[in-house]
Amino acid sequence: MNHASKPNAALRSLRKAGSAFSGTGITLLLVLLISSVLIACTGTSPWSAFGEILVGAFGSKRMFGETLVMMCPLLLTGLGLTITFRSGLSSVGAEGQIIVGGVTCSVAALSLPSTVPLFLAIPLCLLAGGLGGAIWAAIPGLLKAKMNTSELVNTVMMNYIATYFLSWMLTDVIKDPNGFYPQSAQVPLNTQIPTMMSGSRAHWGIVMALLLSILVYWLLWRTPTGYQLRVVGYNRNAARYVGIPIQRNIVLAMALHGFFSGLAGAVEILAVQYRCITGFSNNVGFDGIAVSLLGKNHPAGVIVSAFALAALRSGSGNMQRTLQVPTSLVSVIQGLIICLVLMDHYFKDKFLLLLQRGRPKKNHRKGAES
Amino acid sequence: MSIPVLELKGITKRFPNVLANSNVDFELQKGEIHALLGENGAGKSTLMNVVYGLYEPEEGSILIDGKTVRFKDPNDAIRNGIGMVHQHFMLAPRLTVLENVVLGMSKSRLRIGLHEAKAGVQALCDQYHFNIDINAKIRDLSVGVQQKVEIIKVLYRDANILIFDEPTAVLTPTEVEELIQTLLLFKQSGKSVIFISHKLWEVERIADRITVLRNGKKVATVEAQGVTKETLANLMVGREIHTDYGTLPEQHGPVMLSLKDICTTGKTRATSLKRINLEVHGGEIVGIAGVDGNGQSELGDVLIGVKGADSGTILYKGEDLTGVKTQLRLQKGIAHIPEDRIQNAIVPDFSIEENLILDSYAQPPFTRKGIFYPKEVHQYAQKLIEDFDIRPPLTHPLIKTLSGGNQQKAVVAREFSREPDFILAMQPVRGLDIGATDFVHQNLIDARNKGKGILVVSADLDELLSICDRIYVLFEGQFMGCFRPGEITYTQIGLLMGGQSLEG
Amino acid sequence: MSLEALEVMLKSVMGYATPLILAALGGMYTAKVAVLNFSLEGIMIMGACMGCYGSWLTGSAWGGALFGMLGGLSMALVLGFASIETKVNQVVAGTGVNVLGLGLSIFLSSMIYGAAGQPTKVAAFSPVAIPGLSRLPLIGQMLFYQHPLTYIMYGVIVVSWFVIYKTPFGLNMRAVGDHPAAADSLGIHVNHLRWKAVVISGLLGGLAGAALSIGSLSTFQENMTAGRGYLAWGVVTVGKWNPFGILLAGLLFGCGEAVQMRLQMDGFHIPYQFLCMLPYILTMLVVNGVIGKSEPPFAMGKPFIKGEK
Repeated sequence: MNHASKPNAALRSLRKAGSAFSGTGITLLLVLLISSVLIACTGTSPWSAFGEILVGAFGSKRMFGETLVMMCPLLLTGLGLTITFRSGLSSVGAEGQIIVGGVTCSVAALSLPSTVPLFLAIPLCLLAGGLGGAIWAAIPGLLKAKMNTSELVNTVMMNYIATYFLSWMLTDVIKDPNGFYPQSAQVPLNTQIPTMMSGSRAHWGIVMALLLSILVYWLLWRTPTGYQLRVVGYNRNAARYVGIPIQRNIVLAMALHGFFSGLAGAVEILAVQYRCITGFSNNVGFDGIAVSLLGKNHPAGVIVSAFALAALRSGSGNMQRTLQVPTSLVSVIQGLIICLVLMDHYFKDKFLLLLQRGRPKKNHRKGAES
Repeated sequence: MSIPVLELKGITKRFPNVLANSNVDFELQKGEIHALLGENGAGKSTLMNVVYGLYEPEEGSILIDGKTVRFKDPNDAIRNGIGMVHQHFMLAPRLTVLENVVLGMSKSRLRIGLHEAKAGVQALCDQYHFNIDINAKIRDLSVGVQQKVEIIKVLYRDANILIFDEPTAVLTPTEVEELIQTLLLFKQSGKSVIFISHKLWEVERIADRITVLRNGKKVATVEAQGVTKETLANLMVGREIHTDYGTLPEQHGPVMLSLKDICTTGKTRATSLKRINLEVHGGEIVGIAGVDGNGQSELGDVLIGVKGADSGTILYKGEDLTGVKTQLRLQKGIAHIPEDRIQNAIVPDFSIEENLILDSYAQPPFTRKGIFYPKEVHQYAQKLIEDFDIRPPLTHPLIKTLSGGNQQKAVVAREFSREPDFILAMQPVRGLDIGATDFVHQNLIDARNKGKGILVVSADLDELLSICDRIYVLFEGQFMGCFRPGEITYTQIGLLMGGQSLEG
Repeated sequence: MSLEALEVMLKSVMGYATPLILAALGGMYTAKVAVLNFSLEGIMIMGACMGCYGSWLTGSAWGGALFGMLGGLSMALVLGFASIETKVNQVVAGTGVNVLGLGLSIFLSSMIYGAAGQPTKVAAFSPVAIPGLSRLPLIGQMLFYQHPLTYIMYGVIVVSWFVIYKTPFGLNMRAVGDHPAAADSLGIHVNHLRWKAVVISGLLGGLAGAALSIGSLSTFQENMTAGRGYLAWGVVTVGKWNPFGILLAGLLFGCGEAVQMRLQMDGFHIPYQFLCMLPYILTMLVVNGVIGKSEPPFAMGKPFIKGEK
């Protein structure tokens, strides 16, 4: 008896895994289809466009390095969002946190004496960035915890406040006294994150981000704190009745979210721009939402999706140069991914229904209408 | 007999995995009050939702005045003179009474027609002696008045057939009395009433005929005249009702829990606790009876520490718990079966395993030195699943895929396996079938026999009478009295529940 | 400041406020039926993009307005499908629509105009003075010397108020917003009604976008909405889901923008960025109940599933 049921169970779990991914698969096919149509509309063959993207993303050491450079902030932001989503919060505030994190990191880097050794200076600056983001994110967290107001409205509003804050800092407080543009001076050499592949801009921040992915997995599934966060995320009332402090966990989740976003901002300053400039956040905060959704809010998935979206972003420049297909296509694709991945269970159901069409129809007609 | 105003023939309604109604026949005469009796899950509500056009049956037909009809949606049912007073009121809280009544009835696209409707609505209120301010917003009205608005809403749509879905669940005895008078008025004016209930006494009192459903099937239709409660109970349950759990002679253990002069501010005045005093000894089950919404939830919340008391003290084994956090109270040996399973007791999107450690996840062996060990959780869970006979449909299911009974078994397993000294059980068998109910009760009795102190809060008086050693009656946040089962009559208990003290 | 300068400034207040209020009115319709329209930014930017295109194509600003409305509608349909049919998290879906709209508007522009590049000037609306009224002191220019979309906005406000509080459609919407199941039990089609509201919000949001590209300016610029869609959402909240409240809140926010532009020009010593923050801070204060009490429809953001309470 038992032996007979074993392969069945294996088959069943295989099917289960298959059906979990079939939704995402269908979604990605749809995204590909729609973007192909758009590319075709510009008079270019989608095949060659995607080919150029691949070349642009992986064609050379330098290009691959660029992909990794793009991946780093996406991954960090996506990890932070994974924590918030798992905790039942839906923040759209990563953009503002990245900005604030970048600013606090720049301030720290610019005020650190150049005598501080590199191995100390960089962690300090990263920490400053992370804490800046964490504090910025903790505000809507506190408001949610204490006043029970939607973290959404508050995070959106704080994104814009952060933008103006950055603008003020760059025109006033940390403006490069010798420069004309609203930007800070270059951060000192002892705070710049070194590159790790010669001939490319790929830097050690990427390794840090990958290590942090493991840490996030570990936090969520191998610590009591993670268990608490997830209980609060999935059923706040149940958390209350077993005495899990909800308010504290909400603030903690938001602060962690902000910490990772802030870190993303800091890495962008210390390893890519080497100074604080307008628009350094580059919409990563919103793209991060696509990353964590596509990664199904699991660190392993987030690594894959961050890599894929980064490749898309870094490869699209090449596509624009050689085929004149505008890079804004990537935004379109990301928007599609956010919308369609969200709906993937719907497409999956429709798809399964389509497969069952062959059988005599007997099922409720009512369901389709509601 | 004349042609029935409503007749159902062979109604069958399936849901995924469930056969909710199977070949059910039903008929309703003009001027009749016909009760539909059955336990939770017997298929009463499904059947009535079919009549009201919310569900389309797979098989069977509906006849109105002898003519076959088909309802696509409630609009069709309303047009055919059918109205429903839902158990959970269907009223938009920020609209006025008048607006709620005319909702969906406007003839013109440009005008709501509130002004024209006013007189008609007021006339209906007067006719049935309802004292309602029709310009008040729903959210400012009490539950009893809201139900009257629901009734007016139905009458305003010229309903001849009125369906009441468990209407007395939310009412005080006085309000129940008023409702019964209203139903009799309907009868006189030639309207027909279907009355869904699982309470024997009210069915016996109000109905002309009673149809009993069990497991989605019709068991019988009987004349209410001359039928006994015992007969009805047997029809409804299908076997003798289990009332004797082999209670042992009273054994007075030490005081496990005592509440002294507890006061709180609740959601409303009626739910605020006013100087509650209570003692639970080891080896006894104390029950709290009362109609829902008289401070039961507040009592539970204060006991478990989710809500603070304004004044008074809570002593557990002689130790002052006032101000102690929930988590610590649980650790000290208090177990808690929360009131609303899905809402408060489990995390539906977690596996059974993760649900079984909801209040012990931070303790060894699950967490050691700040690290959480899923392996330990798995082993522990396997044991509980076996010991408590939890039957999951799959190997690693989310708990939401389990039946209500199995979910509650998981909650009981979680709480009882911690070896508590005091157990607070809030509405522990609400929505469960007989088997699961038995299971929960047997576990409570066993715990009692092991010398633990138990407090059961339930709106179901029969439940309390069958398992408790002592019962307090809670009304508007105050204890009206305390008695032992068998000491006083049903009527006297009813009086207490309705806020009448027995001395006066 | 001279009276004349004040009049000019007040006139510009209405200029800033018009797109905000139009978009906010759109947001109000969806809010009334408890659909969380977080995608106004994407709706507006597509409105701006298509508004410019329509004007370029037809040579008439009115043609542009029509195209703008359709552009906004296209984005709203995505939101509607996501939130009504597939019942997903409406905020995240809204964010997706915003990212999509931003990308699509740039992509389409470069596709449409090709190598020739963005037209620098297309037919745009110009201010029309209402005879007599526009001469009123102080507020004459502000209220009655504006481009036609502002007058349309006045109309939309009055009509919306009537629709929401005086017609069966509005009553149904309010019922659906607070208690969808109740509305459903009386035979009101909750999802039909939600679709209608989403369509209205797309049209109004698109028009708001057009008010930017062919009202204030006469061309489309990348990311020209610059967060106004989110700000419009603030306007709905501060205006407490009421058309006239939205008018006042929109004017207040417009005021902020006008004052800050003015101060920036005058070289005032307060960093202008702090003034820019004011509308956002104000929204946060209102949302968090520091100023006034603002209660959204009770079923906000929850998809309607038949048979569930």
